[in-house]
Amino acid sequence: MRKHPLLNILLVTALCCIFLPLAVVLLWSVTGRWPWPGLLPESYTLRTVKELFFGSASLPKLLLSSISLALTVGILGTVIGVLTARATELYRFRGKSLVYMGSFFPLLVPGTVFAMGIQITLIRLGLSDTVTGVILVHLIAAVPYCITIMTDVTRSVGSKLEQQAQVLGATPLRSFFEVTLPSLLPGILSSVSMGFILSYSQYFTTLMVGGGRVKTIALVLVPYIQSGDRALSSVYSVAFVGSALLVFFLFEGTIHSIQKGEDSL
Amino acid sequence: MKLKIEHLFSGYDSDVVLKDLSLEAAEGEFLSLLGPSGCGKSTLMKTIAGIVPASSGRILLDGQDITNLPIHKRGTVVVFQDMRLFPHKSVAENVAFPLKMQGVPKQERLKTAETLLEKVRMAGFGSRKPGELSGGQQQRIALARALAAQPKLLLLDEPFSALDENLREDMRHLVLQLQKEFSMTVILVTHDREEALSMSDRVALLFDGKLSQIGTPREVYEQPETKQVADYFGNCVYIPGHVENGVFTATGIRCCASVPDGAYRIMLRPDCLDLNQTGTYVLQVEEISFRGTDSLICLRSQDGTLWKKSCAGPVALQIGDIVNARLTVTNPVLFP
Repeated sequence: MRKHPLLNILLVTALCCIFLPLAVVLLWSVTGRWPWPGLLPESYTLRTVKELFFGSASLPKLLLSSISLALTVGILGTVIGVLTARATELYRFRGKSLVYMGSFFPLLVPGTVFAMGIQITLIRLGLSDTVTGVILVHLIAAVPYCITIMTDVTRSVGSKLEQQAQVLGATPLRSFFEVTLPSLLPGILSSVSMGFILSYSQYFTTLMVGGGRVKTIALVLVPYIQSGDRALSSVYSVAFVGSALLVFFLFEGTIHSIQKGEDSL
Repeated sequence: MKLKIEHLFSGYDSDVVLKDLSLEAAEGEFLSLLGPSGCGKSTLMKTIAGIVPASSGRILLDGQDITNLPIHKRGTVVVFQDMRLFPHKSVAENVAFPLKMQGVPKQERLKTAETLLEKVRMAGFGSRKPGELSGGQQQRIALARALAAQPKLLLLDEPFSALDENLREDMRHLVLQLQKEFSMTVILVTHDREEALSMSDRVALLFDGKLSQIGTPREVYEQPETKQVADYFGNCVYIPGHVENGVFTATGIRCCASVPDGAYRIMLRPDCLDLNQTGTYVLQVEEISFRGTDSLICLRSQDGTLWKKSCAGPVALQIGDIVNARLTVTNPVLFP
């Protein structure tokens, strides 16, 4: 199939929009001095990299807590998404459309407004300044997206194969894991990624509910951007994007090897 | 009795599809559920399998009440029209799936799968994925997989309608052969009259969620109890007449009838019309169309009845010819 020339132009433009700013950020992260109107920096430094790895907030610890928090949110959000999607797509019950509509309510309220309100509840529950509290708040932001993704996938997969599996003697639970789950896997991958990235990039809610005790990379990154230290904020941005991408690659790789492993059985 | 259905009501939400349906099937019997689309035959099959819950009535399988048993505990296996092979599993894994659910060790179940694949003449396809197979091949795999479950009752939901004519004949033959070999009780859901008549021990006719008639293929075809059943098999001619003292008379017809006196219509099929013998039934040839293996001759009788008779071999008649044919009525079917 021959591609339309316009398509190529669009593709190149899109790639430029992604990679040019990233290149600038990469350059900035090792810049010592970059006075106007120089096309390139005047001097380079590794001060930022040193600060990143050995500074006040140690990077490995920060990454570990951010990634595990975001993964937890992604996985929990997807579990909720799968279950909600099954309920609304495969079952008939009273108030079904209300449940479906309700899953989108968190999107209607701005995150900051919502974080202020929920904090009072969380303080009452004793969940303020805890990881559990942060996970809960991130989940509320991520769940509408997870549900939307899983609803589409569940609708296209349907329950026909599950019915067939049950007729052949599989329990409802087993038929889900044996037959439906492999078909849902691409959707699950998108949903976990979505939940992951939503949690990974949360700043205000983490700050409010975590009270500074729950540290994420976004929490450290934002003050640097605000303080105007371009080099430091750039190096943290690189770490932010890089770590997120790394997790995606690992994730995709794992899913692929699971699918391959199933194939070879 | 293998399967006994008593006063079954079933349907979806407020839509009642099956209305007080009772039915029995004997051990090793091949029973067809025949009827037009929307008559409830698929719903009946799904209710037997437990996919659609029964709202009242009882279903007994081997004497055990299975009405409220979950799908996977019933031992009724369905082969659906759309095959429903598991796309992520290989052909062998698909066939071995029911055994996996029963906890049979892997080596053993794959061996059984291979044997079953031979039975459906698909040996050597075990490592393929269902998506790589043709429709007919997929149907064979679906059949092998159903057999692997060792069903108490095998339900076939229009399994041949997605196949082309030649394949269909092949599959029908295979199903009958396997049914005999495994001495299985089979219920076939179909709207194909020929299929139901040629394959079954008995045929059950369903109309509007109710059982209209059940009997051997010959019984339901030759002795329909209602006009609806007669019409469903088609090719019927109705001639009005009346019964007096146990004798039915109409133009050109006289036969015995064991019904009270009164006005009736007799149902006749073209096979009782013999064009080669001279009789008292006068017809005029209206149309002759050659169809390859036979010719279809349309004739109109004096009272205006249109007959469509198929004739093998060369036809000596021409359009407009007047024929004095013989009508032989052996088992008259009369409707008021």
